[in-house]
Amino acid sequence: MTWEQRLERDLPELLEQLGMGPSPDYRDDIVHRTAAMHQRPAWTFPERWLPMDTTAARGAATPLRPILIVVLIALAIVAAAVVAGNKFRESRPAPPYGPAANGQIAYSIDGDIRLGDPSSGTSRVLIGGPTMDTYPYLSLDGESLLFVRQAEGTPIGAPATVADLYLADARGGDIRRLTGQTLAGETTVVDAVWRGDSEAILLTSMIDGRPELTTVDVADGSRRRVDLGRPVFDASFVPPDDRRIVFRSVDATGVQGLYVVDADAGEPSALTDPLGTEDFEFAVSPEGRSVAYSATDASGTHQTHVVDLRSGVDRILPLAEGALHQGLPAWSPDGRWLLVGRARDISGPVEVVLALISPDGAEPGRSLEALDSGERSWAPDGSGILVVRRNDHALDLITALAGTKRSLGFAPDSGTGAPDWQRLAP
Amino acid sequence: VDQRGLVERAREGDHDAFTLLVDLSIARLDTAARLVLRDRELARDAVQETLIRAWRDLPGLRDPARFDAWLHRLTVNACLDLARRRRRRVIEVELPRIDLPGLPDPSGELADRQLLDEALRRLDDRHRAVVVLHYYLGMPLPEVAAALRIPAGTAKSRLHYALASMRAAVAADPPAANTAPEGQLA
Repeated sequence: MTWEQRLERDLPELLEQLGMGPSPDYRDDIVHRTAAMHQRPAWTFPERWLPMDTTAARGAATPLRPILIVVLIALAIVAAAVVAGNKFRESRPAPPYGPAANGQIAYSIDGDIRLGDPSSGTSRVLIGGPTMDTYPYLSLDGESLLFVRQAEGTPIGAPATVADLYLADARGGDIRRLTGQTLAGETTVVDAVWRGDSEAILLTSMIDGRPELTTVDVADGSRRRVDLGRPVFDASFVPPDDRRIVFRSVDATGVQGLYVVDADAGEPSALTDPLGTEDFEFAVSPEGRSVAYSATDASGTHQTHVVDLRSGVDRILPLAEGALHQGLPAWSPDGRWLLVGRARDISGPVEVVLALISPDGAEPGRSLEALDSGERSWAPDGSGILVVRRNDHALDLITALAGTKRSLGFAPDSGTGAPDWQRLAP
Repeated sequence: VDQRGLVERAREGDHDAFTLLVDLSIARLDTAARLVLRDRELARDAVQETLIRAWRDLPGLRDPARFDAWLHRLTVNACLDLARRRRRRVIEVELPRIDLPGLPDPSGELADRQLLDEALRRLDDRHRAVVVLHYYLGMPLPEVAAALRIPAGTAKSRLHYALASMRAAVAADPPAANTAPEGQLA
C-alpha cells in the first residue's frame, strides 16, 4: 500500500502528530482576561426562559373564572375538530412530486426530532429519549421519517455511519434501524434522498475517500451500489418515475459538470459542458423535464441556467438589472417559478436578495427579501419559502406572493440537518 | 474529570471550573486553529476569541454534554473570520516544528508528517478547513457543512478535492528520507 493510498486512513493520526505540542503559552492570558469579564446573563438567551416547573406552578395557582372555562371548552372543541380533520387528511399519502398540502416541519434540537407547527409556532417531540437523534429526512409522501440515531452522550461532532440510520413513521412510532450493512472502505454517511415511491433511499457515503452512491431498500435495509466510476457530490432522482439520476461530479482533470445516468447504473452521460472547478448547485424540476443550475462563466459572473433533459438545450436566464450574480436555484412545487439568490458582489460578506424568476426567462422576476440565510426551501404548497437564519438558526417564513416575513418561533440546532417540511395530501 | 459537572459550574459563573475546562481543551483548539490557519499568531487570536466568547456565552448553552461540539463550532467560526480578514494582507506562513523532542519518531513516520505538512500547506483555507474539521476534530461532513455554512455537496467536493490534491502533491514530491525541517518560513 502506497503513502497516497494510506493518506485517508492515516490522516487523523498524522494530523494529531503534526499538531502535537505543549499547552499554548497564552493560556494564562486568557484565564486572566475572562476572570475580569462578566458572563452574559442567562436571561438574555431566550431559549432558557421559563423553566417548565415555574410555568406549571403559575398555571396551577391561578383560579379559573367560569366564563374562561366556557371559552376553553369551546376552543377545545374547535381544536378537536381541526385535529380530526388533519388526521383524516394525513391518512392519505401526499403525491411524491408537485404541490402538496403543508404539514409540520421536522427539525432536530437537543438530540430530539421535533415537529414544529408553522401556523401556531408551537412544537412537540416526535422522536425523544436519551439517544442523539438528528438529520430528519421526511419521505415525499409525508408518511415516513429517516434520521440519524446515535448513543446517549454522543457529541454532535461524532461521525455517523450506516449503522446509525433509523426509520420511523410520521407519528414517531415503529422505530427501527434501517441498515447496519457497511461496505468495504465505507466511513461517513453524507447525504440521503428519498425516492418518490418512498420505498428506497439514495445514500451518499464516503467509500475509500470518495463520495459514492448506494440505494437502500426501505423494507429490508439491503443495499445496492450504484457504480458510476466517479465521485458523486450531489445527486437527485428525476421525477416522475425516478428511473434516472442527475448528479454533479468531476472529470479526470478536476473539471465539474452535471451528468445523468439510469438509476440501475450504466454509463453516465454529460448533461452540460464542462463547468470549471468551482462548486455549483442544481435542482431537477418537479415534472422532471429540466434541470436548473448555477455556474460561473469566464467573466466570473454566476449565472442561472436551465437545461432540457431530453434535448440537452441549455439556456441562460437573464440577470436582473444591477445583479452581478444569480444562483442557488430551487423550483417551486408547481414548477412555475425558480427561487434564486442574487448578489452584487461575492468577494466579501455577501448580501443575498431572494428573487422569483420565470424558468423560461420570459419574465424578469421579482425580489423578495434581503437576507444572509444559507438554507432555504419551498413550502409544499408553494405559498412560501422557509429560510434558516445564519446567526441563530431560527426559522422564518417568507410568503411567495407578498414577500412578507415572519418568524416561526422555533429553531434547529446547528449541524443537525436542514429542517424538512412534511408533505400532506392536498 | 467530570466535564459535565465543570460545564454546569462554569455556566453558573464558577471561573475555576472554566479554567479547568480551558486546560482540557486549549491544546486541541490551538492545534486545530494552527492546522486551519497555518499561522501561529492568527491561531492564537482565534483561540483567544473563542474562549472569551465561550466564557461570555456559556449561560446560553443548554446542554452541557454538547460543550465540546459547541466549542469546536466557535473555533471554526473564529478561524474563518480571521482567514477572511487575512486575505486582504500578505503574510509569512510559519511551519510548525515537526521534530518534537521526546516523541517516538521512526523515519517513516517523520517523512509522512513532512509530506502531510507540505500537502496541507498547498491547500487553500477553505479546503484545509474541511480536512481539519473532518479528520482532526472528527466532525461528520454534514456538521462540517453546517459549521462552514456551505451546502453538504460543497463540503463533499471540497474534501474530495483536498484529498486528491494532497495525493497529487505526495506523488509529485516523494519523501526525502530521514530529513525534516526545523521550522521555516514559506
